[in-house]
Amino acid sequence: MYTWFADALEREFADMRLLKESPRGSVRLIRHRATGQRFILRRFTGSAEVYQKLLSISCPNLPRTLEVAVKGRENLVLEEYIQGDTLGFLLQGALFSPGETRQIVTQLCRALWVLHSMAAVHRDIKPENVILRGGDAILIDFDAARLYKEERESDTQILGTTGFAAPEQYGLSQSDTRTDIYSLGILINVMLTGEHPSKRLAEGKLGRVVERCTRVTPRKRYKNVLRLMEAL
Amino acid sequence: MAMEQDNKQICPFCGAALPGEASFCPRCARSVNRRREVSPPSVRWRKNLRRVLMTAVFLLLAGGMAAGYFLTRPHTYEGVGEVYYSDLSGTYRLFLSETASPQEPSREMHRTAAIGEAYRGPILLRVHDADTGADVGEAFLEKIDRVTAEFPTIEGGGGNFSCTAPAPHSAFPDVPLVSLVDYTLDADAGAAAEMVWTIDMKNGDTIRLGLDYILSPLLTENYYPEDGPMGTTEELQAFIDEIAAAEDRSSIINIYLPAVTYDGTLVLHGRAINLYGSTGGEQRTVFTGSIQVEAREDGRISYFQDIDFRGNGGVALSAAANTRATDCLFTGWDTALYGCGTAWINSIGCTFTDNGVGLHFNSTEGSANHSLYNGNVFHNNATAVLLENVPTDLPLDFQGSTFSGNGTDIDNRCGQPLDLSGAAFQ
Repeated sequence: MYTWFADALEREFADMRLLKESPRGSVRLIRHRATGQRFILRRFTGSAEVYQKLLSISCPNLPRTLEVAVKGRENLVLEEYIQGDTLGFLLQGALFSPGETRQIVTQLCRALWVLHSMAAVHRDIKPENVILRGGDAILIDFDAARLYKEERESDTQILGTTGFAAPEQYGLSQSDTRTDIYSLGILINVMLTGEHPSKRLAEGKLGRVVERCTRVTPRKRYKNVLRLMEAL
Repeated sequence: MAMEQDNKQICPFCGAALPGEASFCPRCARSVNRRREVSPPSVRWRKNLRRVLMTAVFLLLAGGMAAGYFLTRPHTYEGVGEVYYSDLSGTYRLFLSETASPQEPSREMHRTAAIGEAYRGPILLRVHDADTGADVGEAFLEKIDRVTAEFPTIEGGGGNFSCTAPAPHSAFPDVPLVSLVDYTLDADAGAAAEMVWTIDMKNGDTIRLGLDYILSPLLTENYYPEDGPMGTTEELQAFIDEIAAAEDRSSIINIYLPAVTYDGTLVLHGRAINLYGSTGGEQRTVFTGSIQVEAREDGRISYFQDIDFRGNGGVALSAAANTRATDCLFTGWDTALYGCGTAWINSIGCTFTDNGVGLHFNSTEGSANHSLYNGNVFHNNATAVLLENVPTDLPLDFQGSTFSGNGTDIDNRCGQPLDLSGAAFQ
């Protein structure tokens, strides 16, 4: 399957642009030669479990995973290309109003609910991994994601992005769904103030939501994204 | 729908042959697998139901609590690090911490201290609404009649602890009360002490909050000119490299330099090392080349004292880790004292003359370790102080410093809060 898919990609698609490269792999924008459609191709080492589960799922706030090919630790993932601006880009120009923030984060909660109901944690929620397409917020990049298992004591790898990663991702306790809730809290604050909550906490009710999302002890945060959606 | 046969399938859109497990046809770029739409359940009914239930529970509890409240007043509340306090207007979480950012209380403060050195650090009282988590410190102050802080018990014999009366502090504008704790360690054995805040409320209640200080000794190693070759920059560099390579990095290293002139570049790396210039005779210790303090993560300060930096362009003291210059002379440099990376740089009692830039703060990360820039002389520099990036909002206090004949006295590009009330501009 892996060899067949790699050959087919070579034959049917043209490379357009390298979007991201890291020691774990690369993300490329590619174009289907016959139809001109654009896609995202991810090559990375590690676990592709989350992408495999997403193959059979459709959610308006997640990009469609179209194909996953695995050979040992090597993975090829073909994904829908989402055209739009990232929150990171938009935040360079202006902050978001409380109403806009609520609307966007509620949609991200919907995306996370899908992931969490598959026992997966995203682990890298940040403005650069959220794309706004029209009125839809799409959560992208599951390279840091993995399925969580109750018995694990701590994560073996430090993934995620400094500033947005929850304390337990640095080894305090195992990442679970509340790790993503922590990062969502940081994201809400950055959307409203442009700054990390430790530097300047958002005011009003959303500030209290941020405070609850970002508690150091995971059990003191919102229990799940549904609770966070209620609070929003 | 694709047709499967012998672990093969045919694309229903273009007829291409595909592996049985394929989900996507690369030839026509269409999905060939089934997907199910998933979305979370509506939270509206859950929210409404919870609201109704919570209102009912609240009404029941409120009645009970009001009765209990009047039956048990006045009351004493006690806790270590944090305590929950209730009155008629709500329940509050009071906690002690050493900085304004964490939401968790400090219950034990573990500190290392050099024998005989004096240390000072803040302890903050913070008050949150227990239900909403909102910071309500300002409003809570209105309920307080009197508050004190003290160290009633000290164990271990070798420690001295005292603290200032709790009061608002300009360095922590959002914190209702701050006490500054002073401590010294006189013996190698270490010491421990309990700090107790006593808050007398206007309604007669008393709140007692405790916090344990535990001091461990920090050993000091002093090196004098007779302890090793340090007559030239090369010899001094080799000596410092040897010290930096030692495994035990917990002790403080002081090097007392001879009254010689060092040329060339000196690099401090691996650990904090303090350099003290000669003060015994008329000659002073002079550096005509740069000293570079490389980045470290231990947070310790490298001290430079009684040293003359006499240059001809370039950077005199370039710091990527915490650095403090005391009673030093900087003259003839493009930049005299430069801080970057995570460095907090500080100058006290120094003279900056005839430099391009005297003190250049350009650190984007790190934390403050001193707010005073007192007793400095900035004379005849193109720019005396250039604040490009300072990593906290702590006001820099230039009390007792004088500025004269500079092209620009203070170029505050990052808008850092400054206290210039005690500075003189001539």
